[in-house]
Amino acid sequence: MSELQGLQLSKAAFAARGAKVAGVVVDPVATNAELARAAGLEFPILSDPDLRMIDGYGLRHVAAHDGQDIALSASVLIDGDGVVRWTSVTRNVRVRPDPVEILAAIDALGSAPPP
Amino acid sequence: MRPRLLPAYAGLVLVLAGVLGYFAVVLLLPAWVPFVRNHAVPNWLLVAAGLGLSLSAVRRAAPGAWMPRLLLGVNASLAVLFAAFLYVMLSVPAAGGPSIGAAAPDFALVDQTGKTVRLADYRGSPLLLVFYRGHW
Repeated sequence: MSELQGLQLSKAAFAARGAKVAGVVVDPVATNAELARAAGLEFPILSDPDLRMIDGYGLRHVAAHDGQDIALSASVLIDGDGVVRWTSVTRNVRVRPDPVEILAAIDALGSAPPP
Repeated sequence: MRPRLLPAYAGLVLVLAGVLGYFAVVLLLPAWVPFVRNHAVPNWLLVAAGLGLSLSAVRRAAPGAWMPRLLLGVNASLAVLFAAFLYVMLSVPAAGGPSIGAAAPDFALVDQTGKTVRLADYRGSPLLLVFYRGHW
């Protein structure tokens, strides 16, 4: 979840690009509300306890935490037309994309045509 | 402590600083130093320097001196355990995620305020979805 705090620290850079951020997790709404308050997160954290969205994006990690299925750590950049333009799916839970890398991907949306 | 053993002990201190420093940074400052969390480069530099000092101490040790060899063994073991933790224990299965160029799968989920959020709410703006493991 530290990646969320890193993105919060880069809030101004995302806002300058008109980009939005949303977290997705299996945790219930009340847990997400407490996390957002404690960590000062200002973007939506979406609760997906049934993993419907997580499955839709192909990011289920089976029996990963206390035998429960959760999401793999991943970032997905969607352009304003609803097209997936960049993804980062980790192979190691400690490795997440640096906000600088994400901002570069957002900047590239304006210069590269959709695939 | 005999002066000849100083490099051996200094090597242990450096290796411990590298290994324990990683956990301190990840626990206390994960959002501020993602390059340390992701790559542990400063930590590996400390571990390498510590191992170098330990090796140097063994080469300079008097015949039969066991402490430098013991400390070299401890340092090497710590380095192996650190590598196993970083690169083996924390690895996860491969997953492709959504395909580049595909339409993003639709969603409608509730956020932390109780509001239902849909993909369509973001039409016209880039949206970064961050899937994460949990609140812990």
